[in-house]
Amino acid sequence: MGSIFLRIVVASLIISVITIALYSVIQYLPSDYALAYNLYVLIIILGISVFLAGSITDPLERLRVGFDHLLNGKFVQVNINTGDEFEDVANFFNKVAKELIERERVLRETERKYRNLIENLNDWVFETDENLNITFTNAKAYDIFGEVKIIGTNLKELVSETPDPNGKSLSFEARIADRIFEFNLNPLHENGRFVGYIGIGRDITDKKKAEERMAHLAAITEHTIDAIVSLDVDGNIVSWNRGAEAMFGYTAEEMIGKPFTVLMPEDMRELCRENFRKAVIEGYARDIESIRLTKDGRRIVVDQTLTAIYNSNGELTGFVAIMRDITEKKKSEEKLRKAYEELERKTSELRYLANIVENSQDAIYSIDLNGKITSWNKGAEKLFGWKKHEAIGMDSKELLPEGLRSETEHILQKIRSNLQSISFDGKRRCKDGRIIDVEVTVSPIIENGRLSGISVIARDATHKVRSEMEMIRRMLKYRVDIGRLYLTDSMDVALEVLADMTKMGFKGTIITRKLPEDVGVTNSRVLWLSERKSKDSIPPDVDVIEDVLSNLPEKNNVVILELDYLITKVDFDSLLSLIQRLREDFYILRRGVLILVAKPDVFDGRRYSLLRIECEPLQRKEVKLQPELYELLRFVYMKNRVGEKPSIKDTMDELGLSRNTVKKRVKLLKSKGLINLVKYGRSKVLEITEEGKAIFE
Amino acid sequence: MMSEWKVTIAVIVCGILAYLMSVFYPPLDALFLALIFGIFANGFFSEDCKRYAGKVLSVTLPIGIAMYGANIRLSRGIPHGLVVIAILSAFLLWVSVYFFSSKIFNLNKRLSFLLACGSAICGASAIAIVASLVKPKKEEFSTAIIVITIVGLTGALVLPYLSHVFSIPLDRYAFLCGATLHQAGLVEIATKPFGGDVVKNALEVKGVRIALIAIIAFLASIYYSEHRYYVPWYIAAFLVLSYFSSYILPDDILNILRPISTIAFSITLASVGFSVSLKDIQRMRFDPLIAAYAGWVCAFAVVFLMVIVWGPYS
Repeated sequence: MGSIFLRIVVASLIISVITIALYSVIQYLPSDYALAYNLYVLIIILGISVFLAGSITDPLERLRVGFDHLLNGKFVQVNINTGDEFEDVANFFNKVAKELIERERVLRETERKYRNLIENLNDWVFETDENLNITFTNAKAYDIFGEVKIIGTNLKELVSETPDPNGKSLSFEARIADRIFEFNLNPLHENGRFVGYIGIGRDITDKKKAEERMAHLAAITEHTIDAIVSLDVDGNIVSWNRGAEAMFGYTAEEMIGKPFTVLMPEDMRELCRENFRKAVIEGYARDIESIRLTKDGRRIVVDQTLTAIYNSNGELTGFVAIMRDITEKKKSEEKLRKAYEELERKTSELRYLANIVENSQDAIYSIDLNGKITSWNKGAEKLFGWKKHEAIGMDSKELLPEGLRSETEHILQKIRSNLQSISFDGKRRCKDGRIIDVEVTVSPIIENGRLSGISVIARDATHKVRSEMEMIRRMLKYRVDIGRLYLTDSMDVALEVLADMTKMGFKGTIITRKLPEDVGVTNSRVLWLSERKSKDSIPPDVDVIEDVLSNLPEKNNVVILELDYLITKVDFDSLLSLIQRLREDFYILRRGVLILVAKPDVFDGRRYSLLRIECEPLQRKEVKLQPELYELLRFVYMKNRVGEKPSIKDTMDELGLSRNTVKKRVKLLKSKGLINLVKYGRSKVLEITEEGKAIFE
Repeated sequence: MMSEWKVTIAVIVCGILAYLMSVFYPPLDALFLALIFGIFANGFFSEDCKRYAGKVLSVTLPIGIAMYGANIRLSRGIPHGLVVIAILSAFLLWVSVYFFSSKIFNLNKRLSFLLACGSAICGASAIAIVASLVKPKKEEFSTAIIVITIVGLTGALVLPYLSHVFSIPLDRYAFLCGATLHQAGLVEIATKPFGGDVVKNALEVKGVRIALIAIIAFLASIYYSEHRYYVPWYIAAFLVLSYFSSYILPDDILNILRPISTIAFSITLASVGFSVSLKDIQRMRFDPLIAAYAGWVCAFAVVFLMVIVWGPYS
C-alpha cells in the first residue's frame, strides 16, 4: 500500500518540480509572450502528467486487459514487477485466473464429454417446456423421426401416446414407426415452479423381443418333449420340466431335491457320481448317450447334454441336463445301420456283378422298349464287333439277320405277356456281316414295377449249334431241321418222327383229336383236342393252342398238331394265321420241330396248298439198315460220342428190348462190321466201328 | 456516412481555427495548435465517430504532406560549414534519441524511429510524413506526436533561459535553436523575443534539417516499403513542391500557396490529433517521454558545446 502511495507522491513531486522549474524559466522570458509561454507550460505539465499517470496506472491497465482476456475465457499472464501491491494483486490474479481457466477448461471438457455422451447416446434425450414443446434434443431424434423440425414441436405431435403434462413424472410406452419406445419424463422446476420436463425415449423393441423370446424359450423349456433338469453343484435336482415328467414318469414334486442318480441304473450310479464330480471341477461335461431308468422301471437310452451354469461372479452354480429319449431312434439307427450294411453289401455285389457282366465272355446287352440298345459289355464288343459307343443307341434290329428282324418285337411281346426269361438258340449279325449262332437268354428289366426293357445274354454257339444240328440231322430217320414246320398227312409218320426225336432228347407234345391211349406214346405229353374240359384236354381254340405252344420249354421240342379236327372248329384264316405265328416262333426261337398233320381231303385244294407253302414235307432218309438195327446202332453211336460204352443191359433198358432181341441185333450189326462187343472189366460193352460211324457222318 | 462528415468537418474546423489563431497571435504555432485542438475535439465525439478518424486521416494526410512542401524553404546561400554542422546536429539528435529509445528504454523500433525522426528533422510534421511509410500502431503514432510536442515545447521554453544564463551570442543562439528544436514553429517561438534576424537565421538552419526529410522519406520508403524503391506519390509531390517553393516559384505565388499549405497541414495535424487516444498514450507509460527527453538533452548538450566552443562559423 505504501509503495503505490509513494509512487503517487513522487509523481506529484516531479510534476510540481517541473512546473516550478518551467515557471521559473519563463520568468526570464519576454513578457510579451507570457500567455503563450503559460499555455505551453500547461501543455507540458499536462503531457507529462498523462505519461506519469500512465506509468502509475499501467499495472491496473494490464490487470484490466488480463480481466478482459479472462472474461473471454483466455488466460494471459499479467507480469508486473513493480514490487508493490500491484505485483501482489497481479500474482493473485494470475493464480486465480489460472485456477478459473483450469476450472473452466475442466468444466468445458466435462460439458463436452457430457454433450458427446448425450449426443451419442443411443436414447433420445430431450427437454420440453411445461406444455411439452421440445426445447432441446440430442441427435438421436433425427434417427427416430428423420429430418423434421424437432425443436419447438410439441411432443404429442411426434409421440401421440404422450399423456397430458401434470407436473409429475410421466412414464409410457409408444410405438414410433415399427419400433417400441419407453419414455420417462421427469419434471424440471425453477424456483419451485414447474417449467418443463427432461425426458428419455429408449428404444425397447429389442428388449421387448428379447422378453418375448425369453417367454417363448421358457414355454419351450416347459413344454418341450426333451427332459430339461437343472441340478445344483451337489447333483440334486432343482427343476424338472414337463418333458422330464413325460419321459421319466416322475412329477416335479417327486423329483425336486432328490439326487440325479435316482434316474440311473444301480450299476451306473457310482460312475455317474464320479463323472458329475469331474464336471463340477472342470466346469463342463461332454455330451453323452446313457441309460436312464423311468419310474415304471423301463430302461431308456437318452442323449444327454450337460451345460454348466455360472452366476454373475463367474462361479459355478449348477448344471442343466437336457435329455432326449433316443431309444426308438437307436433302434431305428440299428435298423438303418443293418439296412445300410445290406445296401453296401448289395452295392458291392452289384458292383461285382456289373464287373462280371462287363468282363463276361458272353455278350450282354440291354434293349429298351423301343428296341434301342442301352448297354453293351466287352463280351458284346468282342462277339459282335461293334464298340460300346457305336452300339449304345443303335437299333437292336441291326444285330439280327434278314428274316429275323422281327425277333426283338416278338421277344418283347412275349416278355410283356408273362415277364419271364426266355432262352433260345438264335442267330446274330456281326458288324462285319457274318451270321453267327448264339445261345440267347432274354430277361425282363423291371423298374419301379414296370417293364423298362430287356437284357440279352448271347453266347457264341455257332459250332455247338451247327454240330448239334448236324448230329441230329444224321441221327434222325427223317430229314428235319430245328425251327422248321413240317406237313404230313400221316399221323403215324409224325409219331415216328416224334418217337425218333424224343429218343434224341427232344420233348414231345401231341395235340390231337385221338385219345391219348390211342396215340400209344408214353414219353410225350398228349393233349386231346376237345371242347370238354379235362386234365389233358385242350379246346379247339387257336389262342389256347398258341398259348400252350408258346409256353413249351425254350428248345428241343417236337410238336405234333393235328389239324383235321381243328379245321372243323375254327375258320381256315385263323388257323393259317396261327400256323404262321407258330412258324415264326419256332424259327426265331429255334424251339424245335412242329409237325402239322392234315389230310388233303379235309381241306380243299387251295387251302392245302397254302398249308404246304407254310410247311415243308417230311422226308425219310435212305438208310440201308433195317430200322431196328439202325436204332440200336444209333444208340451205341450216341453213347460212344460222349465217351460212354453201353452194355447189353443198358441197351435193353434204353430201347425196351429183351436181351435176346438185343443180342440178336448186336450179332447182326457185328456181322456187318458196324459194332464190336468188347470186354470192359468184368462185363462186355458195345463199341461202334469206324464203318459204323461212317453211316452217321 | 454522417459520422464521417462530422469528423471531417471537425478536423477542418480545428485546422482552420489553429491557423487563424496563429495569424492573430503569432507566438502560437498553427500546426501545434491544430494538433492540440484535434486531441481535445476527440473528446467531444462518440466512439462510433472516432472510428472514422483513421479514414479521414487517410485522406488528409497525403494531401497535407504533399501541400506542406510549399512551406519548405531549402537554404540558399548558407555557409557550407553551417550546413554541415546543421546536418551533423540532426544526425546527433537522430542517433541519440533512437539509441535511448530502442536500446536504453527498449521501445520498439517503429516508435524509436518516429521519435528519432521527429527530434532530428521537424517534429510532428516529420512524424506525420514518416509514419505514412513506417505504418506504426495507432498508439505509437499518437505517443510519438505528443512526446515530441512536449519535448519540443520544453526546449522552446528552456533555450531562451539558457541564452540568458549563458549569455549566448544571438547568432549562435539562432543556430542552436535551428539545430536542436523540433519544429519550425518552436524555433520561431524560441527566437521571436530576440528579433527578426535571429528568427530568420534560426529558420535557415532549421531549413537544412527540414530538407533532410526528403532523404529520410526516401530511405524510409525503401526500408519500410513492401516493394523496393517505392516512394508514395505524396512524398514525391512533397519533395517536388519543396524544391519548387525553394528555388523556382516566385514569392507572389508562394505568398498565396504557403497559407493554403499551412491550413492543409494544420487540418492534417488536427486529424492526427483527433486520432490520438489518451488511453492509448497512457498505456505507453512514461518511457517514450523519458527516452525522447534523454536523447534530445544528450544531443543538445553536444551541439550546445559545439556551438559555444567552436561557434557555428568556425
